[in-house]
Amino acid sequence: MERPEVSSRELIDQIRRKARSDAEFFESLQPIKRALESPELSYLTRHYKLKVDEVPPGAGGPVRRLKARVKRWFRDTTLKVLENYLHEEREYLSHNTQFHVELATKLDVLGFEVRQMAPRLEELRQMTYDLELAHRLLEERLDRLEKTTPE
Amino acid sequence: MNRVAVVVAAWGNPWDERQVTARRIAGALANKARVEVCRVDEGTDSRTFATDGPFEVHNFPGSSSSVKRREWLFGSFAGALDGFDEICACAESEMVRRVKDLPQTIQNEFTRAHGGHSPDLLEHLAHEPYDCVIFMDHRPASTVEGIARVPPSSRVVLVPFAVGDPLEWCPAYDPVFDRPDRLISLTSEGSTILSSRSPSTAGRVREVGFVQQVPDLARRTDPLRLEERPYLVVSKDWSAGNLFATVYSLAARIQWDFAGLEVVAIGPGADSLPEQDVVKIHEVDNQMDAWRWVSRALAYWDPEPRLAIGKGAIEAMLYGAPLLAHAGKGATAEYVMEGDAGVLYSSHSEFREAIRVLLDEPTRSALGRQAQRYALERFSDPQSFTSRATTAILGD
Repeated sequence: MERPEVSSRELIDQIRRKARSDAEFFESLQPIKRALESPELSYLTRHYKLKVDEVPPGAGGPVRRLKARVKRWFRDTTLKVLENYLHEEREYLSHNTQFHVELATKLDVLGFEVRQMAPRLEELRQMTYDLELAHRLLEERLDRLEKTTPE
Repeated sequence: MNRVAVVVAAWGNPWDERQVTARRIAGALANKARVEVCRVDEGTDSRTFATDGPFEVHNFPGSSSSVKRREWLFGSFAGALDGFDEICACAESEMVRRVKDLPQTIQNEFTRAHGGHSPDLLEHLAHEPYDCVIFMDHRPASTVEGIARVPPSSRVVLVPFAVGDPLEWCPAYDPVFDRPDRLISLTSEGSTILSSRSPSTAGRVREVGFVQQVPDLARRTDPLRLEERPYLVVSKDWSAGNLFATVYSLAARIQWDFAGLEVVAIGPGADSLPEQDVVKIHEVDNQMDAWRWVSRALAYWDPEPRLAIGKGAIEAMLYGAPLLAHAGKGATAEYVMEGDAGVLYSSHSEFREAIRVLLDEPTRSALGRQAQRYALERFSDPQSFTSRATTAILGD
């Protein structure tokens, strides 16, 4: 049989791989989300190198307070993005059929479905990247500020 | 000459692919037999007779049904609507379970909600000595109630339009699939679904394919209100279902990603769709205008996962438009895979990525060329279709 110029099967595989990589990205956000929801924020502290605990005692109260504020802002904003995302996914499922949502919820597969469908992940990825970038810039400024802050 | 009855719940609407199929099959048989179309007409109180080309058409009075009633019934008793766009495996098996448990009264109501209930038709089928009676579609009452009334001496053939829908497991349909001497499928997937229904169906399935042609005039003349921007086109009879919510939902997700791309919904009933800024709506009530839109589209979007034929997709392929289709069971997905005729999606992310693929012009052109080649090879030979249909229905 004549080989096609373009194979639909290969294109669909490519589409699915890309969509799956979005889903995997979402999966990778789950620990962050869980950590953000925890009162200790230890995960965030460890992974985003806020080093709040490493600030030497007496190294400038105002800087520590500023760092804490940044940490809160980052947590709140990221949570908001994630919550919007989840809300929209639920809306889609709800529109899809109310029955499906009920069943999915009962079977505890809603999370699975959300990851499977994963709309707007590219946007989420970009927003998270922007947030992280903004956070790092602030962190650098704070580090510089910390170094120049008199005891 | 054989005397053949073609029993239909509706007849003559070119936008309904089941009705178009009925006409194609009746037309093929008219070469070798006297064909009488037995149609249930919900708008009449008495039996009437007419001719339509080579066919004699018997109109039988019937009780009224509607899409809304059907949705309400199934929504109330089985827990979901038909025509839903996505379904996971767990929901599907749960629906099959619920459908198998429907009380008999509800099964009867549900069957009649698909139209075609006519005591006059049943009386006619019981007493007319047809050599062969062909029932179109397994769902309407004209089939479910009619198939039991055909005398044992007559050959019975069913064209079931089975697409793997959970509703096909409604027990009311069991005798419908058991009695016929032949089960006619139009696609490979249809054959697979029918063959796997029960051990007794496998040997009775015959695949006849489909035939469709389109005029070149549509390609040479522009539709009204055509703009320069590329567009995805969805063409269907919007009065026959609630698919617009799905189209809107997906289109809304991509409108900011692909700012230059439009989604255009055309077909009869489009004027009644809600006003919004996401999907452009054009009321088109004749096939030529629809073909004009389809022939110029970036791609033909088929959001309906369970079509038995995908007539609109075939027309689009004949014009060289690639397909963008839901990956669920159905004819369009089969065409995409067999003919390398486009791309499939099963989630919002995949839909977005699929459009990205189609916006790459070399890829889109190649898919369009392949779609056209495939459709010409598979769907544009009336002689071959006639021969397959008459052999399968009237006897091997």
